[in-house]
Amino acid sequence: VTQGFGWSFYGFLLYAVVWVTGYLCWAHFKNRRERGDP
Amino acid sequence: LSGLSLTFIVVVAVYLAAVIAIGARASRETRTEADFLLAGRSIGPWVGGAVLAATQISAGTFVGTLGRHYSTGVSWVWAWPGLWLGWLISAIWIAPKLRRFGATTVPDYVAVRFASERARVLASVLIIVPYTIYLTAQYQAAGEIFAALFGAPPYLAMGFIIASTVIYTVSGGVRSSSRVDFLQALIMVTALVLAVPLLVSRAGGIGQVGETLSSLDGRLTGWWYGPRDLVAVSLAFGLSIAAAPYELTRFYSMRDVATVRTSIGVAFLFQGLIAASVMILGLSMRALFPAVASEDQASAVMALHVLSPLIGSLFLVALLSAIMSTCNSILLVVAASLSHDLYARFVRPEASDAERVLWGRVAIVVVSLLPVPFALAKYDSVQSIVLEQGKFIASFFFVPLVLGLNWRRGTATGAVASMLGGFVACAAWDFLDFGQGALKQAGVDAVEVGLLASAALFVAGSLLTPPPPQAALTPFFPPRRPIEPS
Repeated sequence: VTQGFGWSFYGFLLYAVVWVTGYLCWAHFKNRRERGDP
Repeated sequence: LSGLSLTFIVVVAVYLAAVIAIGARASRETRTEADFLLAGRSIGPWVGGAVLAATQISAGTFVGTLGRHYSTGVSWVWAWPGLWLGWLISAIWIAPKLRRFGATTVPDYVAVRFASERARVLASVLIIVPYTIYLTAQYQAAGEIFAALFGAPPYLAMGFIIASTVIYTVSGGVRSSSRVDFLQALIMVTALVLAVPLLVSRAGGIGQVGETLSSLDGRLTGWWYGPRDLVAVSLAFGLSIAAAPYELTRFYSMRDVATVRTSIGVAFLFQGLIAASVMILGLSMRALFPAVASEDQASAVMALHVLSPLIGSLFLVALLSAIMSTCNSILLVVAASLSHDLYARFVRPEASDAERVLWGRVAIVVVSLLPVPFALAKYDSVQSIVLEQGKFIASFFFVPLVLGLNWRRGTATGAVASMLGGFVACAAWDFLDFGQGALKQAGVDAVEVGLLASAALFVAGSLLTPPPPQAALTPFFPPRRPIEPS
């Protein structure tokens, strides 16, 4: 039975998008807090 | 092949002209040691992120990782999250503190934090040795790839890589290599992103690739590697990148702490694109050519037989870029250790700025030539050398870095014992036989042994000696706010 790609493939693509977006948001807010902006 | 050869020569010529122009411009802006080794602390988030990514992405990614996906399918891609965890550790506990400290080299951190010139010398020597070996792997990779592609003798490819890298690194130091790294990261991403749709459509679409692969072997689209394998690889990659001096020194050259944090995010963006593209290319190659002789040849076969001459040439230039951007960072870090930490500190402390820059340049040329005989002799495979240096760096430097920056009690004795002990334990585990064979068989890796030894020695050595002087702690631990009287 051929099934094609599963979670290991699509899961990684999703993980990568969430990781990059999540990190950039964290960095943005951390930088803003350190600058002392409200 | 002739179509590719001709297009390749033209693309390489344009690329080299751009690289040399960047080097020439940066050399006019380089007068002091701070210009040469720190780009005047002017690097912004986009260039900074590209520098971090380009330094990390090497020949190993374009040949080794693509080949690994070719032979084992999807699951190898899960080594990236482990690597990213290493970057996250750096973003939280290492990089901002180092940038705030704002020195010139990584041994500067060791010398100031532990108030010990002995620790500086040890750190310098321990950086120089594995990195010179790492350079061997990059040269060897260049030699092998271009021998396989064009039948050129390996010394020709090495000579080309060395000459072009040394020109822009010597002329403008960190400033020119950062700008060149930015160009190289763009080339890498462009080549991969252009190659993906071409290859996937040749293979009949992504769904078709998946079906073809799962009919070959179910593990190719599922889990070839189990969690234990992936955790071990992640540990080696992640911890060694968090403590890699060739990445750490680049933080010093960035504008400020905020830039350091954002740069790591930009580096994630580049790496995510590269990781996904390299995976899809490897998988599509397997669906198209299920029987390439060895996994390391998959990317060469792709460039020669599947991609159009223009995209194939761009892919090869991206490969050259990956090698050069790793080489320039290694050269800079080794040369800075030699000129800034050893020569200007112990041989001629009275050396002027101009003299330090001159010696930095001389060191780059000398260090670039040292590994050539070893690369030509090919003592080991490229992937083994790359993995081995990563293990050494993580074993001797991860603990003194993370604990030193975050635990006030760490002392010089702890740091020296930790660096020496981690290095020796890692080497002994891999190269000596003292009855540890069964544990090695069971999967206990040299990096785990090195880290454990390094951590134990750091803590024990620090607790057995008096606390470090306050002056050594001030740059890394902001003074606590006084408690207001009620």
